[in-house]
Parts: sequence; C-alpha cells; structure tokens
Amino acid sequence: MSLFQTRWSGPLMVLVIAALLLTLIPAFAPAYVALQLTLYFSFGILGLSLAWVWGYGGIFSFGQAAFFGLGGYSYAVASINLSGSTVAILIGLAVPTAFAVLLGYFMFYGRLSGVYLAVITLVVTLAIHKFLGHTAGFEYRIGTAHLGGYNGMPALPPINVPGDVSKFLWPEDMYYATGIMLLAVYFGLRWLLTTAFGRRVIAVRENELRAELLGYDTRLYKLATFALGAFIAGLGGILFANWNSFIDPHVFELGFGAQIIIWVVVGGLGTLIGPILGAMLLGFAAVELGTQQTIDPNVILGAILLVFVLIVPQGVVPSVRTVMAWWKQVRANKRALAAAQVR
Amino acid sequence: MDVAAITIIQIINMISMLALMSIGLAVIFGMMRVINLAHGEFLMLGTYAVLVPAKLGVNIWISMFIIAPIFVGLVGVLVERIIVRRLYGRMMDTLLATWGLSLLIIGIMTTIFGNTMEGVSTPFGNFSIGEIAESQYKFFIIGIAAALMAAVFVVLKYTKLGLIARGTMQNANMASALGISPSTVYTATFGIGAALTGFAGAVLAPVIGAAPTLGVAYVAKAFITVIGGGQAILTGTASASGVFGVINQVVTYFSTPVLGEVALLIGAVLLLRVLPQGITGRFFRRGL
Amino acid sequence: MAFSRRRFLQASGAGLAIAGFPAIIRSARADDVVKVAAMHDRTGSHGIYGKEMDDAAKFVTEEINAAGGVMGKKIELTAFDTGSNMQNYAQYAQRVATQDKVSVVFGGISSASRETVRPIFDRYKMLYFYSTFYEGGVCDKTVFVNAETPAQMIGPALEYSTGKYNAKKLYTIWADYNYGQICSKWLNGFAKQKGYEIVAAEFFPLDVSDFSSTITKIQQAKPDMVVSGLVGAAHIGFYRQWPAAGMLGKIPLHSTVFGPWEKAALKAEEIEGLVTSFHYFQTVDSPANKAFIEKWHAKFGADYAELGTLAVCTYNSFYLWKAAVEKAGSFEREKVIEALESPVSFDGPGGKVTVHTGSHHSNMAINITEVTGGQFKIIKTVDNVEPSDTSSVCDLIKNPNQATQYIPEG
Repeated sequence: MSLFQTRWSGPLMVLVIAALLLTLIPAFAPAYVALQLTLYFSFGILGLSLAWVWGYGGIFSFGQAAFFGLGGYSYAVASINLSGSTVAILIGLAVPTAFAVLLGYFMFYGRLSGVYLAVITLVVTLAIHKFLGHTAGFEYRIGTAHLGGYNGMPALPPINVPGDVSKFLWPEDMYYATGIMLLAVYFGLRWLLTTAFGRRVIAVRENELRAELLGYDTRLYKLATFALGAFIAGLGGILFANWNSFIDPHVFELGFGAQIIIWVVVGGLGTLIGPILGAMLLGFAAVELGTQQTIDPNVILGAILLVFVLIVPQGVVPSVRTVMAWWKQVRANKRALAAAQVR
Repeated sequence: MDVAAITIIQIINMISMLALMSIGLAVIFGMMRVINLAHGEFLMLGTYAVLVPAKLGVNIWISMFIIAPIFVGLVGVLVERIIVRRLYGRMMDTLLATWGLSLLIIGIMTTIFGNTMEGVSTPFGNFSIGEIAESQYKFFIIGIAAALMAAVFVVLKYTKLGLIARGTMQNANMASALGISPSTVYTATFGIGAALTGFAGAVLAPVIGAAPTLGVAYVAKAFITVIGGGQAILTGTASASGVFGVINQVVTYFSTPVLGEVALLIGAVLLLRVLPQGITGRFFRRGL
Repeated sequence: MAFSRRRFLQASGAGLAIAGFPAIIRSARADDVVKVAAMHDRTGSHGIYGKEMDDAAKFVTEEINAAGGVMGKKIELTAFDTGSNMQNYAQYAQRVATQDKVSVVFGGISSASRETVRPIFDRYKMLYFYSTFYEGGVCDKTVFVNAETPAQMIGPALEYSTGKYNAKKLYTIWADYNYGQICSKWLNGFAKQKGYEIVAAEFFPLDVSDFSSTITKIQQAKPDMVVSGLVGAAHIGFYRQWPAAGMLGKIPLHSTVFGPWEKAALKAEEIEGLVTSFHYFQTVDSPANKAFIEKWHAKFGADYAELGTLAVCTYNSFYLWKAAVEKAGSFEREKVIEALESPVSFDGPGGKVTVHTGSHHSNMAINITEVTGGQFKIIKTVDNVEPSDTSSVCDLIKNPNQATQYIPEG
C-alpha cells in the first residue's frame, strides 16, 4: 500500500499498464495493429521531445521535425555505408544533437527568444526541406548512399543485434524495441525532472532573469535543453526510418512539423504523458482520415487546433486532472458534510 | 550588357514581390505584435479573388483593385472578431490559432476547388532588351509595389488615421485614455493588413497562379522579411526585401532557384544572429 | 516477452478490427468475391493525377462485375486515398498485405510511392500493378508496370518533333527528382544515337514556379528546340511565362510529360504547337475509345475533366490481370505471374498493350500529338513500342530473383 503513496506511484502505474499493453496487444490484435503501433511509438518519442523542449524548457521549437528527419537521414546514410547498424544508430543520434548545439549556440547566445525562436527553427527546417528536395541528382551521394531528392531513400537495411550483422530485427521485434524505447525516454525524462538539472531548466522557463541573477548561465541551460530535445527527436527519427525502411523529405514539411505541435497542444503542454497520447491518437486519426473521402483532412486538423487553443488551451491531460481534482474535492466535501450530520 | 540589364530588372522584381507579399503581415505584426500564420492563406485567397471573377467574365483590373482587397479584408475583420480578439497578449496562442485557421482555409479551399493549380494569363505583352525578351508585367509589379509603399507611408505619416495608428502602436493605454477605442483600431488594422495581403495575392496571381496550398510557399519568406526588417513597418519591409531579394536573385543566377531560396533562408538566420532586433533595430531607427 | 514470429502472424486473423472505413464496393457474399485493393492519391499534391486513376479503378471494377466478374467471382475493391503521403502508402500496403489479404494491388503514383510499397509487397509476396508513366528500370518478379517508360514516352515523339523542326541543338529542363534525372540520362544516350546536341540540362525542384531567369538563359543559348520534363502544379508556371516572354513560336517546345491535367490549367493560345505523347489521349479516334468515353460519361457525368493516359493505363491493368487469371485458371500469385508472362494482351481505348515477358513492362501503342486550338491533335500512332530502356537490362525469366530498379549509365 505504501508503495502507491510515494511520488513514484503514478509513474509505476504507467509502467505496469504500458508493459501489459505492450505484451498483450500482439497476442490479441491483428499483426497490422502492431505494425502501426510501432509507427505511433516513434511519433510518441517525437512528441516527447517537444514536450520536453517546449513544455519544460519553455523553448518553442518548430525544429523538432528537422531533428527527427536529420536523425532518420543520417542513420539511413550511415547504415547503407556501414555493415551493421550499431554505429549507424550512434551517428543518427549524434548528427541532430550536434546540429542542435550549433543552431542553439546561434540562437541562445544571440539572446533570441519567443517568436524569433519559432521563426528561426521554422526557417531552418524549411531550408533543409528545400535542400534535400534538391538532391535527386546522382552527384548527391554520401559514400554509396544516394539522397534521392523528393523520392527519399528507400530499402534501408534493418537494425541488427549489436555485434552480429546477420541477426536483424523483424518488424515484430521492432515493435518491442520501439515500445521499450518510448518507455525509456518517458521515464528518463521523469527522472531528469527530479534532478537539480531538471529543476534549473524549469526555473529558467519560469523566470529567466531571476535564474540568471541567481548565478545560473541560462544560455547554457537552454542550449542543453534544446540539445537533449534534438537527441530524443533524433532517436524517434531513427526508429521511424526503420519502421518501413525508408525516409523522405516530407518529415521536414510544414505540415509534419505542425502535427507535432498539435500533439503537444492537444495532449497538454507541461505534461509528458499528454503529448505521447496526443501523438498516438492523432497520428492514428490522421491515417484513418485518409480512408474517408468526404472531408479534407486539413479541415479537421485545423478545426482541432483552433478548438483546443480557444476552448481547451491547457490540453486534455491537464484538463482531466483539473476535473478529477474538482471531483475529489466535491466528494470530500460531501463526506465531510455527511460526517457532520451524523455527529 | 543585355543580360546585366535583364538581371537587374529581375532583382528589382524579386524585391518588389517580397515587399508586396510582406507588407500586410508587417502592418499586422508591427501594430499589434500578432503573428498571423494564416498570412499565406490570405495571399492565396487574393489569388482566387482574381481567378474566380475572371472565369465569370469580370474584368481582371476590377477584381484586382476592388474585389480582392475588399473580400480578403472582410475575411480579416471576421478572423479578428472571432479568433484573434480572444487571444491578445498570448502571442504563442495566437500563432497556434492562426495556424489552425490556415489549415482550415487550405482544407476548405481544397474541398471547393480541388487540388489543382489554376492560372490567370498575364496581362500586357513583353518587351525586349537586345535579343532577350521579358514580360512587361514585371514592370507593373515593380510599379505597384512602389506605389503601395508610398501610399502606406503617406497614410501613416500625414493622415489622422495614421496618427491614431501610430499612437496606438506606441502606447495603447494612452491612446485609449484619449478616447480612441483600441478594439476598433485593432479590428481595422487586421482588416487593412488582410486587405493589403489580398491585394498582393491578386497582383501576383498572373505570375504565381492559384492553388489551395500556395500560401505555404510564401509564408516563410514573408515572415523572415518582416522579422528581418524589425519594428518599423515600412523601412523594415523595404530594407529586408532589398537585402533578401538581392541574395535570392544573385545566387539563383549563378546556381539554381533552390539554392537561391536556401541562401535567402540562411541569410535571414545569419542576419537575425547579428541584428536580433532586425535591420531597423540598428539602422533607420527613426523610419516608419 | 518471448513471442514467436509465427504466432504473431497467426494473430493477424482475429481480433480487434481497428481499421477505418474506406470506400468498399461490395457486391456479393464473401466466398463469391475476389478482394482487390487500389491505392491512389485522390487528395494532396498528386490529387490532380490520382482522381482519374481512382475513378478508373472503380469504373473498371463495376464494368468487370457487370460482365460476370473474374472467373465468376465479383471483384471486391478497397480503394484507399493515400493523400500524396508516403507514410500512408506504407501503412495501407502493410494493411492490405497482412490484414485484408487481397489478391492483387493496383496503384501508386509517384516513383517514391512505388518504391515505398514495393519492398512490402516483395516481403509479403503480393502481386502489384503500377500504372503510372515513370522513369523506367523497375525489375521485380512480383511487380508489373503497365505504363510508359522514357523510351516509349520520349523516343518516338522526339524523333517526330526534331524531324519537323530540323532541330539538332536541344535545351532540356527537368523536374528535379528521380523521374527528371533518369529521363535526362536516358536522353543523353538517345541523343548520342540520333546525333542531337544537348546544350543544357537544368533541374527544377517541384515547388519552383518562377522560371524567368531560366527563360533568359534559354534565350542566350539559342537552341533549336526546348525539351521540357517539368511536372506538377508549380511547374505549370513555365508554360505561362514562356509565352508571356514572347517566346511562343520563336523556339519550338516539346514536352515529355504533358497531359490533360497540365492543359486544363492553361489557355489554348499559351501552348499552341506543343508536341507531346502518351499511350492515350481522349482525342484518340477509334470505336473502342468512343464507347469507353460514352460509358465513362454515363457514370461520372459528361462534364468530367478530359481523361488522360493514367486513367486508361489503370483500366488496362485490371483487364491484363483479369486475362491472366482466366488464362491461369487460378488467383494464385505464381500462376497469375506465369500467365502474365506468357504473355497476355488487351485492346484498350488507346490501342493494344501486351505484357513484355522479360521485363514485366508493356509493349504499347504510343500516340504523338500537337496541341492545336487547345486540343491534343493526334499526329500519328506508333504501335507496339517496346520499353527498351528497361527490357534491355531486365530479364526476369533468366533471372527471376530480382527486386531492383536499374538506373541508366551515362
């Protein structure tokens, strides 16, 4: 009983439920569902990256899609050139992180903030999109990997067990691997938020000037927050590229970047579980919208975003929490009232 | 020599196009500090406001100078009343809401017109410099851009409306205390910004065509022009258009249009690193 | 968490049907039907091409079912709108392979979409027909391409136009993606053979719509003819800016890809004299085409947009598959592939198409046209044109274990 009363009781419940779902779903659902879930897990990781950067770091970044895509692309290039995927994964994580450090240095040490960050990260994402769309020519090769322009890079080699190139992961293994990665990132961030570093990141979000006057180099903390976000997005991108062994420039499009922000807004800014749910449910909804041919999907996505910003600006998870707290209060009041009457 | 002349015309044309597509956004951003991500869609609506009447046999100049600005201006007023109004002071939320609006407009227009690019043929003929021919419409665009900038300048500087606008911009509370309703000013500003954008879309329609997804290609360019320009509406837009137009067109001439655009975008990021307040944060500080 | 691969796949039969509600044409009980899937971009950037293909799939399904179906079984078509998004292609391909278990899949528009689904269909051993003109070179046992490759789409028409205008110096402009890049390579080889000089090959990303600096460059280069491989909505701008700069009629224009989709966006006088070719144009003058158009208009309305080669290639693909199934007497993939290779052919609205045995492409009639008064005026029809770019490198009879795409040298 006491276990459930610690501050880890919430996360523990999440872990138990998630682990149960992860193992039970393939047994009862069609293979198709597990294949799809693999994709939504990678989206969940991407959603978490923005949940961290925006929700806890206060940095509104349009660029998570760019780091996601850079992760996918650099992994793709490396895995085609190298035998075995282990080093390729490390490269796929390192490239977006390094890029974020460079870009972040420009922005945070230039003291840019707010909408300027939004616009710069947006512009950088679109510039990468433009450039990669331009790489269909056969001269755009990195080693043996052809970047392929708008067609992207198909038929990537699958991830293999570290050290054994012949043992590679089947799509169903990828389901578990991606699901476990999602849980790892989620709990990793929860843990990080309890550390001194995590609290300082939040302090910078709450009041940058005060944090600075207390002696913290806020630029450095923002840079670290941003780089970690890029690292997580890059991980999502690697898993995404593996999901169907392809990556193409559409991940750098405005629409794809828009999705991520919608996930976070709908799920709830300032929570971790909200954006994951947002990513999975809305990712699923977007696919299903494609199978109906009556309403243009943009109408629905646009309407969702408008409704949430105007009516539920907190997002679903915080709103549910508010309602639950209110309900608890009502019940407690009733109980107190009843007790008073008995007396 | 011919090539040099033509290239210079193309550079000036590019600068004019950037100024045209950005001025409406600059008005809204400069006056209200509102980031309107549906800006590209206002531009797109402007192109359709030329295309649809043209199909019904309406004279192209009537649609361009009257129908497009009025129609898109009214859309702007509606958007301000229904959406933007509720979100003043919440910059991020405005950005998200106008983005939702942008998706919604794209979706609605796709449902009505289908996902096709339609075109209005270019008025006027062409001219030649030496052996190289060019469209005369380019001069029209350059002329319109110049006239529009001049008009905005005159209105801001010499009319009562301009005075009220500048007053509200500098200190909304003081303007309010002096009996000017900021709410009305904001609605009017948003409407005028939208009308300017609709007009720009209409003028550009013969060059860029009309398609529901057209706005996306221009919104980023308009944004960096406005933000690169900084606080001052007019000098900011003009100077940033100048810088970015030259970068774009020169790189395009020596390589490809894509690298031209990439250079423009990278140039914008570098510029903001050096001048975080935009060009007018450092130079022309007394400009409008 | 030990979980065998087989059980994972077995589980696919039962359980949660999380699927959506795509447009399914149901006509009979489950055991009297054969399941078929179609994937086309009705919406998104390829919507202008996808609509007629999707409609063609529905049209031909109805027509075949009305005539008694395939070997007595009615086709149950699941038509997906892939929304011009590769992720949708991947998801729907996995779904039809693992959940719906259809007999054959028709569709894919961009080369990217084909290369996205091809590995999935290879993995799950699904028969797949691709009916969009493309850059050529696909060599895959389970894939049949029934559409124009560069040798078919460019070769005969270019011989005609260069002959007519006595053109030796060609200035080429292409869409910057696989299609344009590979066509450009192919044209280099063809030019060497025919003695043309390619004075420039410029590539434009699909979102470029301002061509003024290129038009300037063309005027400086003074070529005998301009060959355009521009594609998509934004590139239409070229065909508008070219006459606006006064170039129409000064330098002849040949387009390697110009269908009714592009034409609809332009004024007749802007493209007068443009030479282009495809397997099919609505202006083909034959009784078969007349009947086809009448029937089409009866179903979709007489105001339906002018049809192009994409609709007819999709239509033909269904009939090639039907012919093969009936020849094989089975829906089994291996037997149907064998029958297709035997080969089978079909007389469609655009002329005859025959499966090319070794390459799994099609020999087909090619119609060369010149735009006259806003119409594709048929100049001549060349029968039985071979997809030589692909058939010269791909032999799936000698070497059946291939699933690749060849890229021309040069």
